Amino acid sequence: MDTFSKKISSLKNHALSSEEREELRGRVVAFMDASAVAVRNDYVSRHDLGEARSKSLVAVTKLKRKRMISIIVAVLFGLSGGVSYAAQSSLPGDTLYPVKVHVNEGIEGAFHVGAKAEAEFARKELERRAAETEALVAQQRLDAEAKATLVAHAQSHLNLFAEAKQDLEADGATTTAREEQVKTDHTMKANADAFLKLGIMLDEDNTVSGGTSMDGEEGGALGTTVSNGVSVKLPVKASTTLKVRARSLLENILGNDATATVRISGKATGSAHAEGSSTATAQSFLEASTTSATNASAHSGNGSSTTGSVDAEIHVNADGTVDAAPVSVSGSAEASGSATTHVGTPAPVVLPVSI
Amino acid sequence: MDMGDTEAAFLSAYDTHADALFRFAFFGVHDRELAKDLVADTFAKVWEYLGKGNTVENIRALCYRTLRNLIIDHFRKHKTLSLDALTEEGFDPRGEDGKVVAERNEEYRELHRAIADLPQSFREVVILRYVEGYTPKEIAENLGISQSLVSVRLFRGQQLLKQRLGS
Repeated sequence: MDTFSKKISSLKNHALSSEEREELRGRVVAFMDASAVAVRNDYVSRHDLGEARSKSLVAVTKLKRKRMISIIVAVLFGLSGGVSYAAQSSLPGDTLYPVKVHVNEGIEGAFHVGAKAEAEFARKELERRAAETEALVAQQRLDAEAKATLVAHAQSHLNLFAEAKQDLEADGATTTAREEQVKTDHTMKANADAFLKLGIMLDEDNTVSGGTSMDGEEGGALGTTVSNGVSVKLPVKASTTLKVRARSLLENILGNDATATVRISGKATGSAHAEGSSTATAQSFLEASTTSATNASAHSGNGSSTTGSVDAEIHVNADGTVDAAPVSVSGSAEASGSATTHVGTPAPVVLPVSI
Repeated sequence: MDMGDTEAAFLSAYDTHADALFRFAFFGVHDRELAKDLVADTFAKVWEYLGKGNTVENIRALCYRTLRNLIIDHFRKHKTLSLDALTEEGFDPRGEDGKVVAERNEEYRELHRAIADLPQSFREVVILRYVEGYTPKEIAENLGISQSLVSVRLFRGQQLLKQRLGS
């Protein structure tokens, strides 16, 4: 190659960066998906008119079954827009709520095609569930049934997000996947109050987590984290007791996976008037710890101090039983009075969980 | 070929030709973001073409021809800017690592300028021949012109470029 050719060929160094290549590829894929939807919609409308030409078009569509159902439902419900509109403001427990989540949002979801769009839609849905939670709390209607409904939907949105993220990663769009994760983390953080009322938090690996902490001193934090096969820690604050939180988390998991590993760890620091002692079981320790935490909150002004922590692996079995195996337990709670909580190493227990 | 195969082949074409098409667009419009948009539009148009049931024997050539038309359309709609103006506005050739390479050396910069100053018809064949390494026959396919016209433009383009580079 002569000097001239060599010089010009150096321009080949001018290329897309890997991020740009991924981003551009994402745009191309999104366009492909969007145009596929247009074809699908065309199919549905013709099908509705009795002019189906499914043979050629079915080959074109690779529509997920769920989406196709949503679109067909959209067509079926096209004549009853009033119901659909009225359902939009409904909350769990309302008659029209199923229309809202299964029809209105099903249709909306059907038009979010492509992994990035799906991730965005999942976030939008999570924001809706958070808003509904707050609305129910305001109306004092957040009962167990409503909570279970919201948790199930939120879990499904989280699953959708996790799938979308996986798709992005599988397509090589790792940067976009990371960006989507950051956005979702932000959404979860922004709605943390609502989600904590449901016992849900999102960890880095998209597993469902929940947490609790004592109210009161800044240093007080009880963290409860849940993961499916991956142990994670997430210290978070909430206002409910560890026992309730743990139970809610276990129920969440049982609603989705037959088995899961639940790691509960807690550390409560602050002023407290501790009562009783527990060295027998993880469960009773958790209860004692909760009591201490509650009391710490209640007696934060009396100058006493309490520290305590528990770290236990809890296995939720397919049959609904829960095996708790403590990893480590340490700490003590001392009061200015006479009561002292001593903590030892508890034996494995089975927590009663019913769903 | 079913749609799944078509999708796979199409994305494979993207993976294979995206960089070269980007360079082709960039040295045509001297605007990185615009070049990326044009490449994305190119693939969108090609995908639409495939979606209409058309069969394509040479997707690379179709991509180049589509991109070339998009570049021409762009200049029909917008006033052509001089490279000087583009430089002032942040003409920043970057390498694969995304780093600005314009400042690597003055020679590189001069080369960009000389390429940019070539008439478009000469520039595109020079880029395809010397940067992408296509044969005159392949260039003819890519641009939808005759092979003899490619040879003529290549010769003239090369002469002009050598003059401007003083070599």
